[in-house]
Amino acid sequence: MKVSLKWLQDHVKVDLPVEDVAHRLTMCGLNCEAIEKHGDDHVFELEVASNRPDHLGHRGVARELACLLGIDLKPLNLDYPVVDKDPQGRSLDEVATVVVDDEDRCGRYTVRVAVALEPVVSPPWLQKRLLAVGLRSINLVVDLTNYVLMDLGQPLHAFDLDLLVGEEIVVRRALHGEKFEAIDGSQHELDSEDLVIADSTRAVALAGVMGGTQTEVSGTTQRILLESAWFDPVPVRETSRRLLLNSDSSYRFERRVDVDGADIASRRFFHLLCKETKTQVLSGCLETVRDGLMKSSPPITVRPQRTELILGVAIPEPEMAKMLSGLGFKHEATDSSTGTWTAPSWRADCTREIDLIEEIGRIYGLDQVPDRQMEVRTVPEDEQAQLVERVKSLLEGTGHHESLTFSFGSAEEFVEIEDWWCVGEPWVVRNPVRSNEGILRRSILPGLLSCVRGNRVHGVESVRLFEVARVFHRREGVDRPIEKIHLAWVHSIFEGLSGTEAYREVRGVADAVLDLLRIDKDLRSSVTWNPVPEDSAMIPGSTAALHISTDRLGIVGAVKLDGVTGETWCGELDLGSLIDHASIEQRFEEFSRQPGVRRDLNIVIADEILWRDISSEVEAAELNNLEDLTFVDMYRGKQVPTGHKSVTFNLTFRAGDRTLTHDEVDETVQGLIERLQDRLQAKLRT
Amino acid sequence: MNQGSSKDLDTLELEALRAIQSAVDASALEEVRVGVLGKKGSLKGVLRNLGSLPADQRPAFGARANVVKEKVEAALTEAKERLGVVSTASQSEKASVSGADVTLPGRRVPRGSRHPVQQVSARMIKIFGNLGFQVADGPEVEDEWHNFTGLNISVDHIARDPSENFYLQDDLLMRSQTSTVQVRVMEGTPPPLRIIAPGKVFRPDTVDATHSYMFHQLEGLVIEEGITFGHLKSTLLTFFQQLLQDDGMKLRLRPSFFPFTEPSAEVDLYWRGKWMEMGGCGMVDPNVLESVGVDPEKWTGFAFGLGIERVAMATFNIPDIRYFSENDVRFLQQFS
Repeated sequence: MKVSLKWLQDHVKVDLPVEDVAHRLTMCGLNCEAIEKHGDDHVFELEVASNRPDHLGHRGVARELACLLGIDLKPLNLDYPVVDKDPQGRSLDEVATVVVDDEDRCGRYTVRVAVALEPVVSPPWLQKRLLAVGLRSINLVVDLTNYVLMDLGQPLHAFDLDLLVGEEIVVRRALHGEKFEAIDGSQHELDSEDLVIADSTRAVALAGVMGGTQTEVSGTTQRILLESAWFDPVPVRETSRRLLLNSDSSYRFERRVDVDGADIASRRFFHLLCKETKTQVLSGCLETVRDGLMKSSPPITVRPQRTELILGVAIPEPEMAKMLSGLGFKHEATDSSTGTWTAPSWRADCTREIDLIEEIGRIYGLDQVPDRQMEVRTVPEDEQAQLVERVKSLLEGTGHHESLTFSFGSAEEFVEIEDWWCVGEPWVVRNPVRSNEGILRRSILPGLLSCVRGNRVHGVESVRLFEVARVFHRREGVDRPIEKIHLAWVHSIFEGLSGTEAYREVRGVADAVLDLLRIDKDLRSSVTWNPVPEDSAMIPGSTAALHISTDRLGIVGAVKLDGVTGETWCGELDLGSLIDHASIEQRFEEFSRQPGVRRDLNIVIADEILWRDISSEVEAAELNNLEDLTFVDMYRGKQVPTGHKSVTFNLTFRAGDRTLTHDEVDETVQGLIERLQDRLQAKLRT
Repeated sequence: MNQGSSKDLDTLELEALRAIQSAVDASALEEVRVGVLGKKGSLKGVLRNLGSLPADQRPAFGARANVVKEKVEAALTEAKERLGVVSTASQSEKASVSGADVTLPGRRVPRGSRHPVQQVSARMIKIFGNLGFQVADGPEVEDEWHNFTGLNISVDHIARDPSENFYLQDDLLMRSQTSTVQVRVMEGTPPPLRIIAPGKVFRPDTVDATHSYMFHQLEGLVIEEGITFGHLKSTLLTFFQQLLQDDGMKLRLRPSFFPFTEPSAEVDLYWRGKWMEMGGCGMVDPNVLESVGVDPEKWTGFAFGLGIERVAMATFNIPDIRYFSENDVRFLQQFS
């Protein structure tokens, strides 16, 4: 909100340099974002907190300054001369009638009337004030309504009484489809949720939001009816939001104006009007007030020791009392060591002791509170976090760049990967920012693959990325998303590895992660990698899935990315579940210093037989002293019959306590060869 | 001869290795080499018996012989080193080694990187860890109680508006602040408490250079006996001093309003020549304590929420928040 220094000085005597004023305001809660010079005046751009509608007028801001400086506000003159009857001999209630149909939305409605108005141009002081806060001059009456709004934070609206049909005001709900033209020229179709000010034939104003063109005050208006009201905040906000229509008035009503202020603002208006031109203001005021709206708030007790505890500083009671009085709080008589106060009508935000303690803190200055050190405390180890950190270090150490992708996805690309992870409808976001990001992702890969495409298309030739983040699954019978932590990584390299070699490189990451996590020994035998059938989004034949028993815990495969040449390989693990099976403990285990014996075997097998068939045979054979089984190579082509392939692998044998003889090993290996020949129809290659 | 073949290999190996061990100079080693590996050496002799083996035993035998050969060769090399011998064979090795262009750059070692947002988050966690704050966590999808009601945000507060949040359905939404974790922690653990909770938050926002609809906050909460605003100030000051390591830095707590703290303040930081808003803080509102069953007369505390992207952008001099989610390798690798 724009606040003029000279205007503030109408309310409070402040002689400080401009920057000091700005600083004092900032440090009491009215952040000054900018200062502009306006002729001989300065205008502050102040940030007003949403719970301080009383700061939406110069007098409210001036009150803060007055309190900070320990001085009083200048008094507000509300007097003006009145006449009992208009030139036709009618009193106020004969000249106008007011009916409020909907007290729920209109808590207070006051009307005063001035007749025989002599039109004059707005005086220079008024034009200057309005200009300083960014408003242009229209005519004296309208200018004064704007002035009072900016001065006291109270919206006013003036109607040309001669244009009000039936000289009556009815505050009612709009009719469905009722048309309304606002003073800014916009046309609207209203519905029964909107509150309007109407005369006997039509809506003449949208209550709390904007007046209508048909009854607006012009340079020739002679009789005015001034509305000063209190409308309930929520309906005003809803109407304003729905019709996309707002104003300085609606801004204030939405935040709750001062109920008492309605009458004060009205009188202030007429005080100023009478000073600037000739007019006759009819005595009296037509008014309706909703029962209970203007009751005074209950007293609040403020304990000094509680204040000291919260703020961390002991402030003498007389000082605290002066602060609260300066802000408009009334001190109730008390004889104990505590103070009891009632909040002024413009502070609906203050209902509890803690609210007053905040006021004291603000005015005292939060920056004045001394620093206090807390006691030393230790923090226990977080095993899960440590494991995640180790996994991330592994990915970083193997050349992957950590990425950050959005939790929302589209239902378009790579849906099959998401479906593989979690069958069932994804969770839907009602109002996404972008229409293609309307669901909560069930896999990190679609978003990460998008980044790969972006990188490759923009000329990055070697892309290795990883991310650890949450995905959102649906589980039957659970009414909120199941959040899982996944690890995903991608390799997309121009003229890089392809086929089996590329698979092995991507798969190697998964193997390393599992190795690092030290999955429980009893589960290791149920860790299996199996080919995934054709219906995943990955390229058929390229994909393997990790299972522990029947749980799906990982997937590795290749995808085709539009616009990207060559193969893109990726993998994803359910890291959260794997960590549940992991062991962080590192324990020494004695290792053998005996020399080992290595045997290379080269067998020819049918194409359909996979490595896992060979390795499970080796495992089932339970060979003595077998330390390691390592795949070496696979070959198809000349020297190998069609429909077959040649596989080379080596076995390493080592005993814990002695040197193994070649005889022993020979025998063991021979047994394996026979087994492979028997069960896999393997032929040993010479 | 059949069963003896592998025994022959065993014997040959043992004898060769023993001879190598006891050799005293280069010529002795050379003698062993020729005697075992040479054209008329013992290994060749044993191999000649290959033909008399049954066919199915030949491959295994051949493989064994190979292993023996390698072992002997290795032992010879090691012995030469031990004796300080430069042999003709290693001379040719040397030639190839000394023929390398030693001004060539090394082969690229793959170095990955951590995302700058995660790096900042990790540093913040570490610093707060030193101050005794434990890391807590909460779901990214929250319900109305944890995101609003428990935080003293009234039913018609604008913060609940559908235009300000990503609702999934009536009662579920993406959390709009990490303060939700405050409520969860307090519901689950009685005080005293000292926790931080870094995490993603979501708010519909037009995406531009400084705004994104998904970003990261670090929440902090302390509930102990006798905690005052002075403790809050001190904690934040110590944190920023540790984070920035810059004497020229200034911290300012400026009164503001949040429904879940009272008094509330904005956290302003003056660093590298300008003031920046880093987040909000305040004393935990008694309504919040009561809603989670903590007695505000016995326990007081403070809470704060800091924007992680903001710190990252300031620390690393990144001009546009969109770099973080674009994940271009040329950006990411700058932080390796």
